[in-house]
Amino acid sequence: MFNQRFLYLFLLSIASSVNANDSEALPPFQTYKLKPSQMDFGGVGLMQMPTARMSNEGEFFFNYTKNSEYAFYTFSLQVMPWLESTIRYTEVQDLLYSNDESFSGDTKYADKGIDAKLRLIEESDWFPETSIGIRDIGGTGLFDGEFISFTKHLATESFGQFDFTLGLGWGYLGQSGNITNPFCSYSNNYCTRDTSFNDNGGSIDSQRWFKGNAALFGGIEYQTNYHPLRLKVEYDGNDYTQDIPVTNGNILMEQDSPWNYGIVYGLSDYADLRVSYERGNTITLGISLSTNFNNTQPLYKAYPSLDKNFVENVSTPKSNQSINWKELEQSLFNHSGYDKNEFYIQNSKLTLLAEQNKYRDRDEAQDKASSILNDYLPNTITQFNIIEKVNSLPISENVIDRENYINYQAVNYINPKTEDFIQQSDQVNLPSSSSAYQTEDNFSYGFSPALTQTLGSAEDFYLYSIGTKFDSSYWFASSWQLDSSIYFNLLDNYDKFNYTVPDDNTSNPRVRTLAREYIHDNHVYLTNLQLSNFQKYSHNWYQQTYLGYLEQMFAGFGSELLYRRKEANWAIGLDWNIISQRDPNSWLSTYNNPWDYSDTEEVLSKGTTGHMSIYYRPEWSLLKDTLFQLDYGKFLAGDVGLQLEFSKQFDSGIIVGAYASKTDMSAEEFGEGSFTKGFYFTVPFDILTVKPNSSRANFHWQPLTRDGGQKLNKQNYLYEITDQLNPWYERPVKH
Amino acid sequence: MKKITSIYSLSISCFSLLGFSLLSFSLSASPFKSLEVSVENTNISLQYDRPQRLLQVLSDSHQYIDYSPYTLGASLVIKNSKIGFEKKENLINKINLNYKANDKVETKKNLLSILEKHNFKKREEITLDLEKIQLDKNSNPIIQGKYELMLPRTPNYIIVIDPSNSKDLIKLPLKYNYDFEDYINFYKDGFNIKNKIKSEKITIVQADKETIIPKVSYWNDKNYYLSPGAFIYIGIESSPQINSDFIDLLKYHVVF
Repeated sequence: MFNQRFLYLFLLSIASSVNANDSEALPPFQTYKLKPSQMDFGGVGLMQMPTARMSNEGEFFFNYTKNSEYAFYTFSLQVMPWLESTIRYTEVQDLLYSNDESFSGDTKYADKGIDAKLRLIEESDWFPETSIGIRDIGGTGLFDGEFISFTKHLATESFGQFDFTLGLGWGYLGQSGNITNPFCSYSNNYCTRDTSFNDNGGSIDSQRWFKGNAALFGGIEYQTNYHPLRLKVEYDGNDYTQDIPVTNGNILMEQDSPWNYGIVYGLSDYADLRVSYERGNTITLGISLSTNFNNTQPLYKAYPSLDKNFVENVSTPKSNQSINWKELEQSLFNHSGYDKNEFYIQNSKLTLLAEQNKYRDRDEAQDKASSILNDYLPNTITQFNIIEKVNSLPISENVIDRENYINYQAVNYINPKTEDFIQQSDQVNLPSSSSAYQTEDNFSYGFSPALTQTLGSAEDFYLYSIGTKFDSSYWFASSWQLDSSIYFNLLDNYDKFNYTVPDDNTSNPRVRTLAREYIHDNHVYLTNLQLSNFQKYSHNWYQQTYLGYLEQMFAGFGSELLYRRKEANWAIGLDWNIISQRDPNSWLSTYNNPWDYSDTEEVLSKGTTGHMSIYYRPEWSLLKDTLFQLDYGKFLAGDVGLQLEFSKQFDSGIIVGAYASKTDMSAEEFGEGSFTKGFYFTVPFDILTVKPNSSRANFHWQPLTRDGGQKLNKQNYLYEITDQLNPWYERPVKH
Repeated sequence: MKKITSIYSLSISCFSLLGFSLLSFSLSASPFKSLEVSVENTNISLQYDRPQRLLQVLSDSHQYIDYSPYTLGASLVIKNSKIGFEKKENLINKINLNYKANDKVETKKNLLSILEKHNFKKREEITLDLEKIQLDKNSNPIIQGKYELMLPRTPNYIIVIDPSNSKDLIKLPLKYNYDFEDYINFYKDGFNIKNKIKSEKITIVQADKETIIPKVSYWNDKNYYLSPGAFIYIGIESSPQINSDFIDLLKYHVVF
């Protein structure tokens, strides 16, 4: 096989070289398209200056850029066609994190920043792409600046393609002040810029936007006719007089020339090397790696041989009495992902009540299940009803007409589709008879990996804890579950984490800031042991009630209620919990009084927390495939307020989200960061592994963890359990 | 079982050579069987007692043609379906009713002339590419009923429809390396078109009926290449709805 392939490639290469000698004989091809490259700070741009250009939706970049003053680690994501967001970690080469060597050692000065760029006008024949952007939205102001830029494309047949950019920058981007700030003539407030930051950092400092120095900047990105090579030139709007190495380190950052020159060399479609000569005296090197969250496909679909067709070799039974239930159940589990199966027969209808653990695409699961049911059931059964349950709650029902399935499967007509034989029921109709057969296995267990990480701490740039979780679950009645989770901490460097509580003079109950005690000081820890009950009322009301050790840091009792209709793009929920903070030095005890931990640091020995939640999925094209969750209620530390969570799902199923809490706890009480905010992305396992799998890998990042605005980490969420009512977490891949 | 009828002749004698088992002969006016497929331009009608897989019908049809058919332009047309005819009539009525008085009368006449000269037929949306059908079982359905099978030769032209300037379909010869803009320029020069052709009024309907609205501008570098037999429809100024309906109707155009 290898030889055949080699021979084929060899012949192909000869054929190509023959053709290449005769350019007239070449078939017409599209010219190579200019793919906008990343700038030093992350995000589409030239080198120091941004352009108005956007990447394709879902494009995700990891960039590393280094020169003699800075090292930038950046993640940039094209969230929407009109919105680019960038998260940046900066190490300042010649400055230390703090002057206290015993605290932060030789860790370099680090800074976190978030940028956003919005496209105002898409490029048209005669109008340039126009974007506005804010750099360092919630940071401590190291590179904060604003810009508006215009980019116009020019394609030539013989000389390659060009992107011309002209922009106006403020703050860091307009430091050279090569023009007068146009807003200064409108109001004197815009003539100077206050460089201090609000609260305790981490807030949006909109009061200084578009103020102070302003400068014109511009440049050209040029796609040469040699496809891997792009060239850049830019006119810099910064003069580097206010960069932190200059102001805090007395280091010279001279600018010998405002012109910067760059080369981008494409190693592949997914990797660019960047070299630039900036300020007339500084070499900057960088690499950009990229992927596209929209285009990523499950591996088992990209390589169908991974999901081998199964051939059942079963003789169809003549009556219900001769059905081989055990084999049927096993086959459904192996091939179609249905687990915890219950079978009911009423006249000519078979109802399967089961959990789905394999396929995000339920049509695919039901297609396979229909094939198996068709093989194992007598011909007297003419209809299959598949009711999907999650944690014992019946969520959705689909009705399969057996004859239609047979015609579909045999391609007995033109363009057969799954909807020809699968019909969704508006509501679930549970069978009234007793089950003909059901799985006896009520106990399940498994190991899963876990990673806890902190980026950009004073002690070390990267703090981590790698461990494994042992999860087990036992259903001892149809709606009662006892489940537990034990965490084994295998490897961590949290011992470098110097303080046990923040030194920012806050006096909140330490509901989340005893991380070191819970993570590093316990190599094995019972993170969860709870008894849960799940109920469904009427057609659209769902409830869970739970009691026990609810999460790593809290034990208690609580209940959640959710109202959600099938296909609806909204839902409303309520949860309320009575809790007590767990003692990290014991598996089973909780604190009995607020000063059990220490005489100076309060813990939450008894308290309540709960929220009313609204879930909403907009149906406007501008916010395509997004979910908003708004929670209002009482947080762990007793503060009352809101948490807003926004997430975007890409075609592949990757979800990227961000959240922020704002409560009645003031920024001073809260401490560094001013309020809780965090980011996450979750990746469907089936695009990481070779087999179909409906689970997700979750990556969560909270830049600063403090005690205000913190919620209880429940084991189950009804919005996730009821996902099949309008799939979000297990939505099939969009093609 | 298959029965083959020559529409104009009663005698066919070489079936055994073709590997078919012949049951009977009949005239074209024979009673309807489960599947009847008239192969365009061959005077052959294939008749089957039972519904057949598409692959079987295509393989049988290919026995009667001595060229490699142009699969992008091939069509399996539902006989006796009136949808194409009705769509055409609806569009004619719409043009007569809605055409604005201040628009050029000539354009209206041209539109009606183009429509009246052509028949539009309902085709099954399925590939007729033998290789694809052999590889993908979903492309090989069982078919039954009465069909016309169009297996054209590869046309050596593309077609411009420009009701503002012409009452006929204009066939332009296929040109090596020509893209869509080259054809437009070729058409303007060759037919001495004086008025400006606005790119935003143009729609391409490829031979397989894929519809493309080209984005053309001086700044853009995207080239659009045409399949043999593709249409370039140059829309009229006054009515986007008539343009849209006309493009929809072109999907029912099956004759090359």
